[in-house]
Amino acid sequence: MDKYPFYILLHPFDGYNELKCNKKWSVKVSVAILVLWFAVRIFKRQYMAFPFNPNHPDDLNIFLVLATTIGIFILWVISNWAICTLMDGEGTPKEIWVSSAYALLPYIIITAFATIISRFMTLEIAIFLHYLQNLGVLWSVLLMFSAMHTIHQYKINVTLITMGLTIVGMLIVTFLGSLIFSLFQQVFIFIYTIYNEIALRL
Amino acid sequence: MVKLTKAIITISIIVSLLSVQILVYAESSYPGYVYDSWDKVVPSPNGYLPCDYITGKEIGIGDFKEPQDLYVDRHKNELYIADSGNNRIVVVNSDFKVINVFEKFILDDRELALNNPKGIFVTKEGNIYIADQGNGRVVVADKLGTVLKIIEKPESDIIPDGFVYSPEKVAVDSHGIIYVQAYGVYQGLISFNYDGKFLGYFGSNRVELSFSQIRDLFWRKFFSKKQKEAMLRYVPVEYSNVYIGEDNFKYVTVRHSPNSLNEIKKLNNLGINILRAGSNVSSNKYGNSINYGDGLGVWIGRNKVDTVFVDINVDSEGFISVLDATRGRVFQYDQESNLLFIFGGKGSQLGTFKSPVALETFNNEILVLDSEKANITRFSVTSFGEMVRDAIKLYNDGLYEQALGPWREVIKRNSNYELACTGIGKALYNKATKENYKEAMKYFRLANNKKGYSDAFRQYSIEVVRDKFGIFATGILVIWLIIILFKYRNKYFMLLKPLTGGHKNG
Repeated sequence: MDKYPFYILLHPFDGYNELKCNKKWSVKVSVAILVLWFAVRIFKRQYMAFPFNPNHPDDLNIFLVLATTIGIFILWVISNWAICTLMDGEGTPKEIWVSSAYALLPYIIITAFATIISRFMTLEIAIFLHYLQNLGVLWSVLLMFSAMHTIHQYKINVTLITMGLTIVGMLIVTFLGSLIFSLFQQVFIFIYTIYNEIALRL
Repeated sequence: MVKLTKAIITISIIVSLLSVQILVYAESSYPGYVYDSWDKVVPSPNGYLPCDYITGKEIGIGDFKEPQDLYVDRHKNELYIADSGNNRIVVVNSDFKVINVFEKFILDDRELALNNPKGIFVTKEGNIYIADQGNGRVVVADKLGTVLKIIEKPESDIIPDGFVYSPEKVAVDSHGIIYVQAYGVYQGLISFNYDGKFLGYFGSNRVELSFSQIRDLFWRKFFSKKQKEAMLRYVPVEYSNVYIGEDNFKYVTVRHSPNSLNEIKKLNNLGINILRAGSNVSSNKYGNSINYGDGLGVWIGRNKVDTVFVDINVDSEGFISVLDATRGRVFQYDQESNLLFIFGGKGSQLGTFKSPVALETFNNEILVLDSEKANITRFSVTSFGEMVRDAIKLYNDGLYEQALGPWREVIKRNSNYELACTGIGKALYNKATKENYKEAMKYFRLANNKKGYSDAFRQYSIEVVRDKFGIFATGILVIWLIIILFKYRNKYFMLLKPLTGGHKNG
């Protein structure tokens, strides 16, 4: 088992530097991490203890979870690569993919742990659970930040700007996607109506 | 042998035929349902079923014509019907026999006629207050038909110019102050003192924030004056009816609530709404506001179709019933705003309405007045309804253990009833044993009550640890010993080596 992602957890900047210079990436491990991320999201949604779970267990929509995990990840990588190419970054798509995946690891571990221990907690100590979950998210964000900084060799403020622009890019892609979708819908309705008209007249 | 088989077959056929029961039961003309805490519709047995209807012709005074209001004088057990189209007030007793019909009232030797009396209220002294909409006044008469007072349009600086006074409903509290709900008035109820002097507006609504309002606020910054004037004005919502009971609180219904919340208010003397979500609602989705009636409204085309309450009534046990004119349904709540039952509908069968306008409680029955059908439908409580009401009364008084029996009966008939699950959960929680805590946890989970579940879980886990403390302590000790042994295993082997080594070599 590749111990490398765990090294990154506690030594972000060194770890990502090694990744870039010594090419210590492993696409298989990153895909495994992504699958784990998807699984942990569903795990948290369904198995989080009752006092802390605002979701109705019957309302699980796997496709929605898939879209909000893997879908958003792919969107992030594409958008990041596009923005960083414009901003003279040095990262290749493979590096961006692998380093972003490695950054998700603390969130996965902490969320899984939090879901399990929530079964033994009462509402009075809920604040600790929220603290733990926020810690997981924050840690992942910090790792992502250090990944961007190292991979593209940016200065700190440029990294922040780039990350912001990446999110804007994701929104633009989503907007354009829904625009194309509804335009295609109109084309389809048009063709279908014409077909119906002709078919009924014959 | 054959004879025995034949005998057995015959007997079993006879027994099975005898055990077939022919069930005859009345299907109600509306589905029974309630809302659960996820705001999902959940089927439920009916709490009230229609038993009869009364028309004017039946009681011998000719058909009603577009009647608009009902009032029950609880002291004398008499029902007053405002037969607006015929400009008369009909009084019947509890057997629905006519006691009196007021066609004209006498004022100083002259006759006074009503024009579309839309609202009616009777005080304990027997004085009748009528909202005479067509003539723009409130007429006060005694039980003999003599006019005591006429309250005309209010005059004051705070009344806007060009105000058309169109009183629709009237109510009087125990101090003699008269509250009038008038059409188009959005500042609240108009209140007069006993002499007919205008006292002010009562219970002004706060403007409820809605998305369209925020959006318009944003666009206002860019529009010219003319365009701004053409935009929709957001004013505090107007009331549609008012009821004052023995407790002197003013129960009002709101005609249109833009965010579909707080459509019923219970106002105290300061005009503040004191209806709050009960304590068993652990996570209140809308902050302190409650969504009464059917859902949050649906959009059909460009119109929002939502619950519009037109009448409200509180029975002698404190249960609040409201009538929704959009879909013709009656919703019954308790004082903690827990939804108990929903019944009624739109249609032509018994139990459904074409145009419901008023609601009253008379002799433990609920009466609904339909102005188009010109009849009064009587609803009586079912056994399920009785059970729920008994259980809720005990529960709201804090007598959780006594309520346990009734709640279990309710659950037998409707396992979807979340209130019953919370009731049972709380009762079991009070009986402090390990099994009861575990069962309480199960019921709280069914009731979607997170606070209750968490409390029961805490007590249960304390009990479990207490019981199994011996095992826990021993287990931890053993694990600790193993870890110590593992850590220092080399040192122990070194210690043991001379013994074994010596033995082997020797």
